[in-house]
Amino acid sequence: MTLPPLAQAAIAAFIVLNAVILMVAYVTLLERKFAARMQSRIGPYYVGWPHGWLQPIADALKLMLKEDVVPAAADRWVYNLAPIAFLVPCVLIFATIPFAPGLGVADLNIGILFFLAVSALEIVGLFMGGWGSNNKYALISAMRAVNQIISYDLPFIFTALVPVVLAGSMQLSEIVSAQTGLFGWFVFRAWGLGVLALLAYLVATIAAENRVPFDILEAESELVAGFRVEYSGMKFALIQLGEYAHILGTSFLGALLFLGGWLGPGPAWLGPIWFLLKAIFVFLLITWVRWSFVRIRVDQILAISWKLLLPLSIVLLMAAAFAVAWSGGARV
Amino acid sequence: MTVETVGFWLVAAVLLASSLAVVLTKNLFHAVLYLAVALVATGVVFLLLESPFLFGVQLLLYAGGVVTIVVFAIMLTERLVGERITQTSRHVVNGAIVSAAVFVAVVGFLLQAGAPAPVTERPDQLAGLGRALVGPYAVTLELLGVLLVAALLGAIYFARADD
Amino acid sequence: MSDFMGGLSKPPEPPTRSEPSRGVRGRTRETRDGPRGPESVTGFGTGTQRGGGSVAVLRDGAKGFWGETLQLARAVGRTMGVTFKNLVARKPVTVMYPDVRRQYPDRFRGVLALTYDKETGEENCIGCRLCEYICPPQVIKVEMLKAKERNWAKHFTLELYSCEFCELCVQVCPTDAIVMLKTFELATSDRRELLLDKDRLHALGLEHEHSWATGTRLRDMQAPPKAARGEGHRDGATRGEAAVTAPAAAAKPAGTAALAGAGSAEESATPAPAAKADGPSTAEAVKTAAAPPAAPGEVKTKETAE
Ligand code: SF4
Ligand code: SF4
Repeated sequence: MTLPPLAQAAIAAFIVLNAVILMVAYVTLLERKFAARMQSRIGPYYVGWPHGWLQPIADALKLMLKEDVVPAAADRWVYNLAPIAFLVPCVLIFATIPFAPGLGVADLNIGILFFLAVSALEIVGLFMGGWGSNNKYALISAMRAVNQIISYDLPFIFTALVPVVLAGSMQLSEIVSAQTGLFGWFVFRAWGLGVLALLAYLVATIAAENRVPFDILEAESELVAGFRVEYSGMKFALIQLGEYAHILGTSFLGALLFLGGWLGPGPAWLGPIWFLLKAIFVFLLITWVRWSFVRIRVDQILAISWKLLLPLSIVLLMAAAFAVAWSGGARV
Repeated sequence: MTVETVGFWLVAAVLLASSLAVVLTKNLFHAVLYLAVALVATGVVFLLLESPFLFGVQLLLYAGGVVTIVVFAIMLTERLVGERITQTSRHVVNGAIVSAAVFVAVVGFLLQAGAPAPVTERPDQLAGLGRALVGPYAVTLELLGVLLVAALLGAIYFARADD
Repeated sequence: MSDFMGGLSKPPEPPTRSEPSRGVRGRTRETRDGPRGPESVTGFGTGTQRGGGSVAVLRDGAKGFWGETLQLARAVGRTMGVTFKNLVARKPVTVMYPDVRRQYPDRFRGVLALTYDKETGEENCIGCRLCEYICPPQVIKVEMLKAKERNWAKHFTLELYSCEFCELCVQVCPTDAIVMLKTFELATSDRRELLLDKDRLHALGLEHEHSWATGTRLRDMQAPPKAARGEGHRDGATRGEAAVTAPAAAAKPAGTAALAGAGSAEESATPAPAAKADGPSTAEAVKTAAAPPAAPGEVKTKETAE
């Protein structure tokens, strides 16, 4: 095919976008079933009998048909643009993720930096929602978002950099190709450093995504629904979509950084499937944590970040650097 | 005109408009949002200049970090404390004159310098940057680190609980 | 080091804390060393629950950074172990509701209905409006139809959408006419469908299984019914007497006001500054007490004037 590169990129982006939306829809179903089993329930069942295969579609339809309420005192422009400002970065992070060698929108040489930078933009949409709704709950939620983002972005970045140091590249495809071989994934490597880094990555991810037990942003019992308390209908759906897309994106990144991406036994075309399975594994780990704990206090959240996670991630990063330097650039 | 050129002019227009909006809007929160747009647009300019690393850093530090802090400050004062702050841009004329002077100076410098030779082959920027930071600029880097630690300690000192 | 970190993160203490709570604890913790142990070093505050049995692994008073981190890790492990066990080893307990229905308890409080007499097949309701009077949200409206043999309900409407299912109407019904059903399926797309009239209520009664409770049965449960009512009457009488006698007592010179009597009027008659007019009879009493020369008396008269 001899399409101009821009058209190729557009087509790739279109495919990825739709795949993301579809995946997000079914990931919610997966989470609901998983959570239900953890609580000795069954979960969605009748819509798309058996086991609720059509539930996500039904949910989406329902949200589309719902009335779109705009508070009278809202800052209209900000309020209306917030879901989009929230969603775009969350979907954009998929642009840099390669699903197999050469299969992705753009394999940037700063892949991981792009990922971190773009997901940092998500907070702007959150602020817009929190401010624009002109609602105290939403505002308090946005304030809490600041304190959480400041505390957990650093550990997240540091732990995500551990594989970068081990692989010696920021390009995601190269990070994967540095993990070949039996027990070559970074979880198994570097004398246990990888496992610790993965655990720290998971905790930081959960916190950065405001999931239980770190969900003081949208603590139902105090803030009703946090920054999206005033949103309904399609706008609510967009925010929800963005949130799950972000979680899914970080799951993919985790699978890529620590679990060897598309590497796995079998022919090359199995690669994307392996990758998907690993990402879902990471997602389920996050979900498992979510449905096991209760919300913790603000000061506990801060304490965990600044007193445990941040030092741990810095130590891990330095240890990885030392290990690489010690071995003189050979595989650690 | 190539795609890059069109993109550049587009981004430049957005950048200019949003920067003007930052100083001209009355609503402080809107100003911050325009600031975010301007910062992201700057990042995109970096991207168009084929410098993705700077793009990432720009987004991470400015759009992600600085905007967050500013928004925090505004929210704290305006909505929670209940004080209404409107942006009053005094001395618009003086400001315009100063910025026009800067603009003339920059353009004059660029015209004088002439067009740079187009970069043909591109070394790995990242590795180069890393080497530079721990090589020739190592002392500067360390000094910056010391400065930041000092700032951090100072902040802790001021924020400590009263005994 | 521990003091340094603990001191930095000290949260504002709650204003009063009479005793360390025995439930999930926050930062202050009781240790064997004394009532208040050291500040939590990490601030994770993994409080423990006593008496929970299953959380016996967690011991209070984990000390130092490593102690607390270890405790945290243990707690995390246990919690996630429970959910994992649910996931793999335990069967869901869900009853697949529309297909399978569980047995409803006998005292189930569901939709309301009117009944027919089993022998004669007549409507039980006599339109006495007792249920209308007792209903807290006032959702029942009854109109009586007078007749020779007995009375009937001419109209009977029940706004089920505002009913709070308190069962009081069932309890007061003298003829066991209104009952509750063992069904809760009220979902409808139009609120107006929940405005039930007499025919609908009767139809519902035929359609669904009735709960155990009827007026007679509920009243029989309140033992011993007759004696209790008698007590209540006598009580009332005593109270009435007190109210009548109070002014007379108060009319005596204030210093020697009869302290022997009973009732609330007594208190305000004594010239105590704390006395507050709190009921009509009290107010009267104070008025009659007229003018004790002391200052409290003046205050009192002012109060009554208001
Ligand atoms: S159950 Fe209570 S609220 Fe409902 S109709 Fe009877 S008395 Fe009224
Ligand atoms: S239902 Fe019972 S209480 Fe109500 S009006 Fe009829 S007889 Fe009286």
